[in-house]
Amino acid sequence: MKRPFSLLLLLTLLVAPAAAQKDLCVERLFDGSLRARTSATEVVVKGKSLKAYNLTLFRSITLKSTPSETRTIESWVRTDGKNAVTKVENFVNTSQTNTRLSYAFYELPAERPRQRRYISYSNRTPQSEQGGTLTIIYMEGSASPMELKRHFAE
Amino acid sequence: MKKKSDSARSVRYLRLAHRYFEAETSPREEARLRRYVVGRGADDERFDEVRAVMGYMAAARRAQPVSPSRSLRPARAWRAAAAVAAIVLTVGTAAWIDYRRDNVCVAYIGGRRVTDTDRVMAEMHRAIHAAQRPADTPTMEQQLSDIFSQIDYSE
Repeated sequence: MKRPFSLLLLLTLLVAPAAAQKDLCVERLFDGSLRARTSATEVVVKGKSLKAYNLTLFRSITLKSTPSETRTIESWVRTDGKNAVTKVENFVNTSQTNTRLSYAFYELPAERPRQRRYISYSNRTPQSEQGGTLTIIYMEGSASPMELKRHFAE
Repeated sequence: MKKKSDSARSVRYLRLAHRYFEAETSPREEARLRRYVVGRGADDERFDEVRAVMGYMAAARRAQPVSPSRSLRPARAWRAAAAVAAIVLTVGTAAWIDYRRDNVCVAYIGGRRVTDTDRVMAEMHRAIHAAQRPADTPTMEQQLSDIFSQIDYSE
């Protein structure tokens, strides 16, 4: 009786997913709820396709968002970036009293050695009252910010 | 007449009993002898010894239990083979699931699932390009350069 139970437990542990972004607010963007949206594009890449970039995980969402969605997603991104090791943020004034995050890049505290984590955010139309075109990226890997810039910067 | 045939019969069975004690009888002959010594030859004292030996052998066979190892050996082998197959299947399935989970390349574009690697990687690069800092946004270095370029060092 004990042996089959041990085997079952081993199988369960082997197949249980382990996602490091589970503790982040932006995780809600990657739960699959936006995949059916025609104005959204979600990309998920893991493993051998990312080896050349020294990354292990790449997730992105690009979507046309409503004003309320823009405010919500921006708050999630800024919450996750609060304790960032490296932080770059750009704000634009949308009115005399309001600002909107137009660009952000965060390197988050590493949970494991050589496992850096990054969040990148962009709102191409921050001053639009109709919402925004948002791109949110989450990455994991051993690549440093300089390496990422070398691989991806124009 | 009857006595002569009985006598001839008993002589035949006596010879059979002799061969029985020499372990030269077949199972059929033994059965025939057994039927005679408990049937027609039951009162013949010359077969007392045969009756005693056959009776003892029958009692010993009834008392001896069936050997478990001889009858269950094939079943044990099947169980061992099934256990090994189950372990191999479990570990193999787990390794395959692990591989599939650790190597993913998929995009969902306008609600459609795309698994073509080139297309997915193109979308990845497109997302990175979209997320880059707008070109007209000054960097920290540019802003510092602007500040310090205004300072007059001639003082």
